[in-house]
Amino acid sequence: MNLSEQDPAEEFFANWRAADESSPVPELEDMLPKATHKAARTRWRWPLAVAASVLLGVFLTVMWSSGPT
Amino acid sequence: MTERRDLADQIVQHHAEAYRWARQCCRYRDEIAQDVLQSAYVKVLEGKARFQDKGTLKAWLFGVIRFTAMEHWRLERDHAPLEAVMEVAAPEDPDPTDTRFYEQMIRQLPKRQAEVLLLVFYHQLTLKEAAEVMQLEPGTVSTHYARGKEQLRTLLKKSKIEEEGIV
Repeated sequence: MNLSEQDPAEEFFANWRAADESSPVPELEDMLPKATHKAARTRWRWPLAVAASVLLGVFLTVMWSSGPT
Repeated sequence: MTERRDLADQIVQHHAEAYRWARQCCRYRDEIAQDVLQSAYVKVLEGKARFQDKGTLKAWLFGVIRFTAMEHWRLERDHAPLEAVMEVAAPEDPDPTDTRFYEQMIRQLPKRQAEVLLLVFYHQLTLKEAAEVMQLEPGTVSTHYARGKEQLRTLLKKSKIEEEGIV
């Protein structure tokens, strides 16, 4: 057995990695702000919905109590 | 806030590898890989996916990406079945600098065998980490690993014979 012989799978993936080195990777900066923005938008969705419901409830209660009677 | 900053810093270190893994999970389609990776980052930043300090951050992040890609394909299967099963065209002559040669070769393996080989050889994870990413028992992953290696060896031999036969 030739000990210096590389495992075919190892060689295959090493060559693949080397070939991939030259292929471009999208900049993280282009991706992360969008992701942060998307996350922030989703994070505020629930609290905003709750706050809007409370305000609507208060408004309706006030309107009801200050009715014509 | 600081926790999110730390996570973002750690994502920076793994971004290139994470993108390549996302591409491999998305049948080598760049646009889909970008969408999937971005959604995975959103999950991480939102705290929907939390790192529990078990195993390595890289294996955990790869698991999140894999899960997000699977979610994508589940939806895609319902809406665009034809596009989803479209194959990547193989280069006419195998060329070691053309990545399509490797992509085409690995796509001939059963999915789990291909995944474990990619994680171990391409991304240099251990079998235990690969098991964590794939959400499988380490013993099952070892079986896929051994079978995958054997099958890849056969495919490479076959491709070499065909290449020599043509020349």
